[in-house]
Amino acid sequence: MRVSAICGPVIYVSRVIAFVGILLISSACSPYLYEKEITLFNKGIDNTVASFEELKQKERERRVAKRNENLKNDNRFISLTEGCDMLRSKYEEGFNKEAKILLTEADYQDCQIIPVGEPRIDPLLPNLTAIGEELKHYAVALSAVSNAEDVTKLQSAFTEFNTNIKELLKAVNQELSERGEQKFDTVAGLVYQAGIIYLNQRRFNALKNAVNETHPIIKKAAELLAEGSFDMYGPELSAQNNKLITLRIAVGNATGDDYVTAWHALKAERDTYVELFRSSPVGVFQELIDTHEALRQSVNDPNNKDQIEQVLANAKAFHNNAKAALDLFKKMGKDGDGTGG
Amino acid sequence: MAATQRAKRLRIDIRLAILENFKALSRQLDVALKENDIDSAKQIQTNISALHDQLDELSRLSLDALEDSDEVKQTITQLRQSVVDLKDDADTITDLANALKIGAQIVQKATEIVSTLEGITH
Repeated sequence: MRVSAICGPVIYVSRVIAFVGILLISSACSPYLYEKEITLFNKGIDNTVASFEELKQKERERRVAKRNENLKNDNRFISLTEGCDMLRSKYEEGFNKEAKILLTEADYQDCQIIPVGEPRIDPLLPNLTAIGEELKHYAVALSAVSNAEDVTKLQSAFTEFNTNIKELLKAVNQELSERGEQKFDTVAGLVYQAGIIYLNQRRFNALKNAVNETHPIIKKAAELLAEGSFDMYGPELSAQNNKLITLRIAVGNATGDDYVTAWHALKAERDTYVELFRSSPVGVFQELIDTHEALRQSVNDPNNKDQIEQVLANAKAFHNNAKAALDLFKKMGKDGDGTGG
Repeated sequence: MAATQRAKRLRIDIRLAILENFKALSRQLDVALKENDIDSAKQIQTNISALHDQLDELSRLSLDALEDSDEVKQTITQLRQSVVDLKDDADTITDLANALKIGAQIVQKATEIVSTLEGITH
């Protein structure tokens, strides 16, 4: 009776311990190794997307200004389409039929002011904006895979468990002792460690699969946003170049102190012009790709210390430059004169 | 392929041709300024400004072409799928962590039973 009552759980626990031992022997890669790098990558993406939004705001202002200029020049008779007259009758018919609003987006779109003006201002670039948002979601999901929150919870559960395990440990050790096998100091610690290793491995595999499979998509997304930024950034370069030319004409025949003042003024504008090229968002998007590529190479070769350091170096550079670009665009936004909606 | 699509959207040949004109005008501006011919310089400035306007208009057109491109729409779909897959993985791992926690609680219960049985049989 005594033997059969205890033997079942003891054999089960012994098997668990054997399994745990195998798990402990097999080494596991930790995704937490990359937590800091992924956090930096995440912040870099946030700043890059924010820079894109700043550029979009400038683009919007340009389009509004151009629309207003065109409207003024055309000076056409201002009116509304028939769709506007249809809204009220459709609204009332719908309510009469089903006691609800039956108007559709198409109905709203049928109501337009004439002349229409620039139709692509609100929303401006919804597709490219969606790419930026999805990149942010991807970075957050990568962080979730490398986040240690559930490990902390698990640790606390096993700590509690460990305080109550003594009797089981005694029984297991008795069984092991009868077999002449090595006894355990603690079972809970062992089970906990195996659990963590298993979780880490799962997390690491998820991280590895994600960065490998997603890399071409991240690269494409960053390149497309870089192209959009290139298009929106061009007018900033044109505007600064126009300033340089205006100044060249103004300083053309200066003499004496005026000459020195003119020299400094032109040099300052030249420095700003060069800085605009250095800070072009195109470069930051390339760094985003490089950082993701370094991470990809590192998870494929996790024992390569140099590669891990490379990930951190890239992530730091990406984060810093993305932040610098964002600061510059914010400054440009403040310096610029908004033209309203 | 992607580079070709980009070049097509940017109309890069036209852009480069405009920039060549820009360089030539800039040289003319230098000459006019050296000769203190301000009227010519101002005319050249107007021409350069017009070239910038052309470049900016091309930028706006290529931005709209990019926004409407299949490449962009396809990339949004692929990115969304990647995020969903990654979140599924994270959820599965969290479920595993919870399962391990529950496992610990079950083993704890088993310990209590074993202890009780030991007490009975001794």
